[in-house]
Amino acid sequence: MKHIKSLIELSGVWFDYHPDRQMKEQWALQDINLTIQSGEYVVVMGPNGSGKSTFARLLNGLLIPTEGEVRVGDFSTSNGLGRFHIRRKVGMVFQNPDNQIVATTVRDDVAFGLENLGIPREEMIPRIERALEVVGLVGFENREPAHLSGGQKQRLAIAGVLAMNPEIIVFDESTSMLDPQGREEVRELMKELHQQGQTVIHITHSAQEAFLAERVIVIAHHRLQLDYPSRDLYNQSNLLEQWGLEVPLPIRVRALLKNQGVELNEPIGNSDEMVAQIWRYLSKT
Amino acid sequence: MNSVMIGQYIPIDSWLHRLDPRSKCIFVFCMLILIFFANNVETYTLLLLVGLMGVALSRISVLLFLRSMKLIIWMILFTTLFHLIFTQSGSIVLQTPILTIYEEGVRQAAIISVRFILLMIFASLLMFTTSPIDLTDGLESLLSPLRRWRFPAHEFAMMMSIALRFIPTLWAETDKIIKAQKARGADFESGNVYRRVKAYIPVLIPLMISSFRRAEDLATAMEARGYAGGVGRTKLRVLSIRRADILLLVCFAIVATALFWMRK
Repeated sequence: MKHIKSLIELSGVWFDYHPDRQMKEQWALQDINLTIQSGEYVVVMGPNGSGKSTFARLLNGLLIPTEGEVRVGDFSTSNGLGRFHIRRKVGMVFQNPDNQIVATTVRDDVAFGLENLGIPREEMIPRIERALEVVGLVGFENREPAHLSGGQKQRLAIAGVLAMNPEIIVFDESTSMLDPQGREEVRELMKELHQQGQTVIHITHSAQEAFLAERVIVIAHHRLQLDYPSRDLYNQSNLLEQWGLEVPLPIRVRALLKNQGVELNEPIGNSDEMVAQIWRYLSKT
Repeated sequence: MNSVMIGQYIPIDSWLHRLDPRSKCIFVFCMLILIFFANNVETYTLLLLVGLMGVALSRISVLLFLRSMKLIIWMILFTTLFHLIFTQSGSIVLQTPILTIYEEGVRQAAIISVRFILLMIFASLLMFTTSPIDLTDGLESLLSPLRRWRFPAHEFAMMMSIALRFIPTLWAETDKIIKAQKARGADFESGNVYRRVKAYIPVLIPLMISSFRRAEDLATAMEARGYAGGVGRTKLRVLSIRRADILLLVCFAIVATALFWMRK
């Protein structure tokens, strides 16, 4: 008997850009099995060239698995009609803020996806307004994209995706090209969307961002290596290091202290929390 | 950034700005053809008056129109000179030891110059009063009947609007590459024309490579957002023909009739 129906299901997925030219052991993605439920906040991490961006592109049918199947809801990406429905369900925000804005004004760009779906104009207008409201770009409707900051451009890209009412939003390294402020804006928005019940999948190489999510998946050497609730990863930060990922300082300190017999209980998010806990520990003893 | 781009849109409000881009396109296109039917002082005066009326209606400073004339001043001077020297019919106007100027030459030179000026006035009127987005929308709509003969009207308009969208982006990038090459010791300012043009090759190549990368990224992003060509697409922007548009086309009909009645 099946429990809740999973939203995304990858079963036995193998993929390569040139499957006929490569040995199977060298394919870009190998034997991925995974399910993601509705409302989850998942981070997919991996070193450069590990296949994590390829993974992202498999989720909405931009790439089709060479073997195996990716299913989103009731549809499979291997099927042309299925892909059309899946594109509507799975929104994607890419890395380069400049290269994903199509139209000459903010309003027209948010409309782009809706126009593609054939949404009637009367319905488009409130949807555009709402999407711009969520990302905080109200008042920028007639701005040209060239006159936006990096963070604003990325928020515009998110608005374009949100207007299409997706069930899942995939962020493919969407914070990596932004300045610290823009990065913070986008992270904050991701958190908000998740709290509103949106399924968020964030592909990143920043371990710091990984601990913002609920579930961490590590892809390295073209395979799925780890799939843990982020809470459990606190105790096993060495697992991340093993795959060549940098572990955030508070978590490293916590692990080192543990080796010294100093046990800090609660999961630590940032360095302030870490300092507070060390003080608490010291005052107890 | 470069604010003196050729035929740039001037975003103010006027009767001409508010017109539907399609009627403006048709009007200007027909006017441009009409210019070639004018053949005497009366008809040219008529067209000049229409042009000046347009300038007045656009509420755009005459200086901007004059500035756009700068682009064609060399063409005017060259053709004028050409006609003065080489057209040899009619009575002699001026005789010097080196060259003789004939009446027909003066006439031809005047006609060509006025034609150039008229072409520029009408083209500028369209470009100054129509935003690029409206212009592409208008063109798409006007060209869509050609789809029956497989003309890709939607794709054409999409290409144009993407090009417009990326002009500032590519401009900023060019600037960045120039600075990067200067930091590596590239010299863009000295030497003859040939050398200076050659100095820009190391700017153009990285620019081209990055443009290809951008194009690929953009295509992926468009696909991810469900773009699959013009079929089944709806539009946020709607164009509507209003009374003013009909008035404009009626004006054209009157001008055209008058012109054909006045010409020899």
